[in-house]
Amino acid sequence: MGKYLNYFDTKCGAEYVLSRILILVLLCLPLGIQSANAQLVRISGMDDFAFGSWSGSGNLTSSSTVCIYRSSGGGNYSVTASGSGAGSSFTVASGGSTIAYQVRWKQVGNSFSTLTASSPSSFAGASSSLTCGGSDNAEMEVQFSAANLGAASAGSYSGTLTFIIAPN
Amino acid sequence: MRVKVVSALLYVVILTALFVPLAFPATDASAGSSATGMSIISIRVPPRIRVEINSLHKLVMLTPNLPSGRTTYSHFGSGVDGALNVHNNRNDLLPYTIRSFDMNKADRTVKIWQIDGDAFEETAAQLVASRKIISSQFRGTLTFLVEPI
Repeated sequence: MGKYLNYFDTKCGAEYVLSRILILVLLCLPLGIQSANAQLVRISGMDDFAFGSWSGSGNLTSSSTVCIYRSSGGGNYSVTASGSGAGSSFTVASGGSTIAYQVRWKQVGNSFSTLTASSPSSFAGASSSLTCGGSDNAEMEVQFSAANLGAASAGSYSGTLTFIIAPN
Repeated sequence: MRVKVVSALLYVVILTALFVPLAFPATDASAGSSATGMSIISIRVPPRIRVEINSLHKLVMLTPNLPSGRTTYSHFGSGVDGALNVHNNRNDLLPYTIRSFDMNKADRTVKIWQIDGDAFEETAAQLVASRKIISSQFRGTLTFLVEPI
């Protein structure tokens, strides 16, 4: 018993344990720094755009608000939109026919900016709340011009619009 | 020996306590991570018949592509928001209305009568007299949307 106590006193005393903890903390420090810089972003609340049938006149516009979340580092973010057309262009298709559309984005309360396919655009106002506090902070808009619709062949058109959100 | 075990366990506890909280966020998102959202866009463009208006008194349009079966139809002009008007090269506008039209699938024709030609000419004359428009050739298009029921 005395031998064990002696061992504990010499090898596992308070100084020994503290020195080991210090070493571990130093070993873990690089991981801690990485964790502090890690940035999570999230886009939520997206909807599909179902325009229905064109009435035959006027532009067709539809918009949807979304929540942009950024875990740390401020509220700036970039949006890169790409369509399902050739070269990621913003077009919907029906067989071999296509109709081009325009995509715009804005921080809620600001004015819309037109997005260029596959090109990042910068915005502000991302929330540090995963749910944006229950109030969406960004808005996207899809618009078909009457000219493009008028020139299109009859048919049911569809396409996919993809947004990539990244910390800025 | 027991002390070695205790010491080893202490190591494990400390390592777990230090690494586990750090490991999860680092796995979920590294710096510069991105999020992707996707929307499906769908739209339907119904069949339509386009009529060039060159006489506002009576138009007869032959069309080879009227849908078969029961259809619904609507029409709109080439003015803003489908307004029924024709325009000259100065973009002066002359409104018109349609009295009636008939889509006959048997002979595949669409017949259109412009309402009240006298009223239209009178309006045009008044606008010219008041110099709100100049007398010139006016053009426009009238489009019928035809949809199968």
